[in-house]
Amino acid sequence: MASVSLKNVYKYYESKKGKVEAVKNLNLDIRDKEIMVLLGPSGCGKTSTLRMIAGIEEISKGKLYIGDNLSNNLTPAQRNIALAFEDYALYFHLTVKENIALCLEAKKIDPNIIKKRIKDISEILGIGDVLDLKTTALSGGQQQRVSLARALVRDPSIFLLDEPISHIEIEKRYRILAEIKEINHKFGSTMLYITHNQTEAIAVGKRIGVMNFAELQQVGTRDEIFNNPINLFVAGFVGQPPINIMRCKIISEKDVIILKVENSSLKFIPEAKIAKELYKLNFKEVILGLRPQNIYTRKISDKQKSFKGIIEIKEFLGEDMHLVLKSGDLKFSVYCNVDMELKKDKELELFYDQNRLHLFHPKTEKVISA
Amino acid sequence: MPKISLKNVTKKFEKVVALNNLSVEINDREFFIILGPSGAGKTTFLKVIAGLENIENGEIYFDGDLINNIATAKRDVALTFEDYSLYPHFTVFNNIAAPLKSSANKNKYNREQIREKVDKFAKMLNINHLLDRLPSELSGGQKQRVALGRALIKEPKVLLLDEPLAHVDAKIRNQLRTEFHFLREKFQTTTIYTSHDYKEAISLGDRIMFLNKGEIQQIGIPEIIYNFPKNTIVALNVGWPEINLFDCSVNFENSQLFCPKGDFVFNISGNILKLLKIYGKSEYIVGARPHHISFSVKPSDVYNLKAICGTSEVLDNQSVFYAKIKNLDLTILVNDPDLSLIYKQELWLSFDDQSLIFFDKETNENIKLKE
Amino acid sequence: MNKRKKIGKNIFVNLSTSIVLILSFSFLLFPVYWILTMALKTNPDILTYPPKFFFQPTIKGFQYILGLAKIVGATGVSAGVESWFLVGIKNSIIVVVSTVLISLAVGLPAAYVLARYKLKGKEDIAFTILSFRFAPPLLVIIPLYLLFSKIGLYNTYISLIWVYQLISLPMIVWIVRGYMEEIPIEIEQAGMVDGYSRTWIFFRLVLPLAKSGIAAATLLAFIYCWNNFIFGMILAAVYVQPVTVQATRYLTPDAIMFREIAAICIGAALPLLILSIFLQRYLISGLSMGAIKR
Repeated sequence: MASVSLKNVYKYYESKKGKVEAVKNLNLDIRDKEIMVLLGPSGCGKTSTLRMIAGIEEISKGKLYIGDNLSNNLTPAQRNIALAFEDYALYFHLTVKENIALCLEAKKIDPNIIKKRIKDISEILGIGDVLDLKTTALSGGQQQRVSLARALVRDPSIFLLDEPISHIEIEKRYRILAEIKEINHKFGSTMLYITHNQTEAIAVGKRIGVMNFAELQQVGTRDEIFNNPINLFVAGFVGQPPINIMRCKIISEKDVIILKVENSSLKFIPEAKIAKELYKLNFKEVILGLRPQNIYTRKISDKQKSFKGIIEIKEFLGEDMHLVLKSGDLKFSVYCNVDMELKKDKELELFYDQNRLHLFHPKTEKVISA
Repeated sequence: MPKISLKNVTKKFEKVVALNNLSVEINDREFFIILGPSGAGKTTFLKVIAGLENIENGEIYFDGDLINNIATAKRDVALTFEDYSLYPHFTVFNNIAAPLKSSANKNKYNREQIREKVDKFAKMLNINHLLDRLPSELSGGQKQRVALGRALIKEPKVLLLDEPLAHVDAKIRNQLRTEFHFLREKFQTTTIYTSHDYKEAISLGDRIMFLNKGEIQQIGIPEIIYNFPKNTIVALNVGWPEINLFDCSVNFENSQLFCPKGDFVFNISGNILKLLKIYGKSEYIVGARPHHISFSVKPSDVYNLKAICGTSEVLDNQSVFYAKIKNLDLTILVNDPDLSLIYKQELWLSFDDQSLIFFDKETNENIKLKE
Repeated sequence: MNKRKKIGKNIFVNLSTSIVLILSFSFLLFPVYWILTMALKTNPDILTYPPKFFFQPTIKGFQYILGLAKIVGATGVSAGVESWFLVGIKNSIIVVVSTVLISLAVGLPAAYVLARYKLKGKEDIAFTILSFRFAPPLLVIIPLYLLFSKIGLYNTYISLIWVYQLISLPMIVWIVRGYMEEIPIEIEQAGMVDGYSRTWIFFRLVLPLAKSGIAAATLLAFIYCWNNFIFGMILAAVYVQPVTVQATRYLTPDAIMFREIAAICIGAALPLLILSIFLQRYLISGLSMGAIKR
């Protein structure tokens, strides 16, 4: 297992319209033994990145290091990578055991060692009882496990997974994620996992890299990305229900900087140090983000500020609740614990922590921080 | 807007019984949800009400009128299919306009009126910029709105929606579910909506009917279905993660519950103890919802059940982890997405005894609903 | 450096693919090419050995079959020749077009019934229809001849149109039935819920959605009927026989007019070619109807 480092990597494609930049100035470090998730909408560059690391796409510019070796010109086999595809790519005519053993046999490894490795891996992935079946007899979930086993058994330096669970039945998805994490845990495999689904990203990876328009926006743990998003895109992309976004005018009342929401009577008070920053930058407008999870229906601490809204929609979801409230023309979401007293058309006082307000530059959409 | 009654309705496909002797009353203008796993009979139920399938036995009434033998076209119902079933060779405009041009409605509307109506509903569903497209050029969410437009435009007496959000991307599904709350108000008809997702059901429904293998398990308002599931089947399907179920026996002398699989006891008191005493039996299947089990990393009087931590998962706003007490596997939901527990770490658990659900071991039924 | 290797590899792959394709096509299309050249050669050129690839072309053959030539007798009297080609084409068009139209009128509803309705013995009926294709024409031709003569249908268009149903009807029913079964029934149910009659649903939903199947079946039926030889030869006489049989006019007691036979082959194939090109559009558009997903 090894670490992977991309330094100033670019990927260009030629198309009828000229040069297309699929990946722009990517600097990414995947630590040894970690699961790094690349998350982003389709077309953001995550698949191109994975393919460049795999060696099935040329790196247009920049350097790729696997371990300490500059690997730009190595073939996929030389890089010792393993790839698990979205559509499994299993050999139909072979049994599960044969599929898994094939590449080891090609490397002329001792048959006893092959046997042992297959046994260990099939135990972890729960495919021990289907080893002698043809792959076409398996369910989607089982096929994906075989695909993972086949990749894993080669003891690769890095394991690349391209949207591996998108075609698996919903009930089985979390199971497979748990198994992938168990593989990482047991074997210490370095993994790069690609997805456009943020729930999946959070479930599988410790660190998440968010990409958009060919650029890496931010890398961090779920906590970092959730609570300190670097720009509006990251703030909006991660988090379910999505963050509430409001355009505000910056006004000052009695020497305190206040954010007044457009088309509404709502006012928010930022932290002192952010207020200072706003004053320095001399802005008239700002974009405000506040997560539904950071809006409370009861006061939790004295420091919290409040605002009011009228409940338009109450969604009882069993373990929790989702409310949509209205203030003037503005609609916003609140995510909270179950409280059956809350009913439609009720006016509610809501509470927030000032340090959970995310302010973004009105033009560049980058976060404003002290 | 009719009240719909089904009396002893049975529907078979060859030997397979899809609907087994169902009787149910759906109120005027109610948003009625049929919840159940795949194969439960939800689609068959809708098709029977629409008249697309015949029934072997039973009667169906709209406002007291028997409609068994009335043809689909005359029942004035609208149905959106699970895979939308848009006319592939018609534009979006013509798909939505189709019900207004049919023989049942011929001569009712002229071209101008049709145009106006289509525009009105297309605007309401945010698809007025797609009117010239073909279905093959639309995304799943857009197709679903076109299907809805086609259903709503004839302002039917009964609106039937078959798993409308089943094939939509996860992120969009949450948004659409919320949007449905807004749309509901514009429907003004008796609506029957089917789903296999309990969140949709309890969020949107006035009442929910849980259907499994063609049989009604329970009918009730969302809070009742969630908090007082009638039997283990309903309990397992409503709530995520799945409710923990395990056998227990009651020791009335010590006011304790003993679980053989986990080889542990814990105390019960208050209303729950009273209820068990009244019910009388000593063997039960106990249901503990994952968010009603709490844990601590240190033992105490309250947290006294030793468990070994298994794997854990971070979800959008919560964490789930698996723990084992001897041979009993438990799933626990915690409101903290930043939980970091170590695999094989020792933990001490506690059950909220007042929120436990007791099912009679023989009948599988919730004892609270027996009163 | 890797780029150059890749480009080199690509050129090699492309070149060898092209060579294989050219060789295969040449092998398959050679007979067609040969007949075309035969139609343009003089008789001596046709019969020489080794075969001549380069020759002086002549259109006399085509002129002859079109009735544009004149024969001059020993006494110097010239006479026109009958255009058996035009006679044949007229007959083929009348018979085959009528056959296919009748097969469609009868077969499309039949296909729909077999696809959708639950009937006792449905599969038996379907198989019976298919079985018409199994019978070798030579087996039935003599009884048919006797039968048709007796009822006065010998040498009529009706007899050919009727008999040709054995060829085209099973094809249309079986191919179109398959396509109709692929149409999700929910689309028809949506039509019923919208208030449309079964007839409207059949003409405006089912048939358009089965378009590519209908086009394929029609084309195949047309081709097989057009190419049929035996029924026309036995059940009809000269002025009713289709173009396939008219080729035999050029097997004279004096000589076998190879050039004219080749010319009439080319001429007979032309309508089929035109039809295929015309229907091709429907075949392809039908296949790309991504809106129906199963």
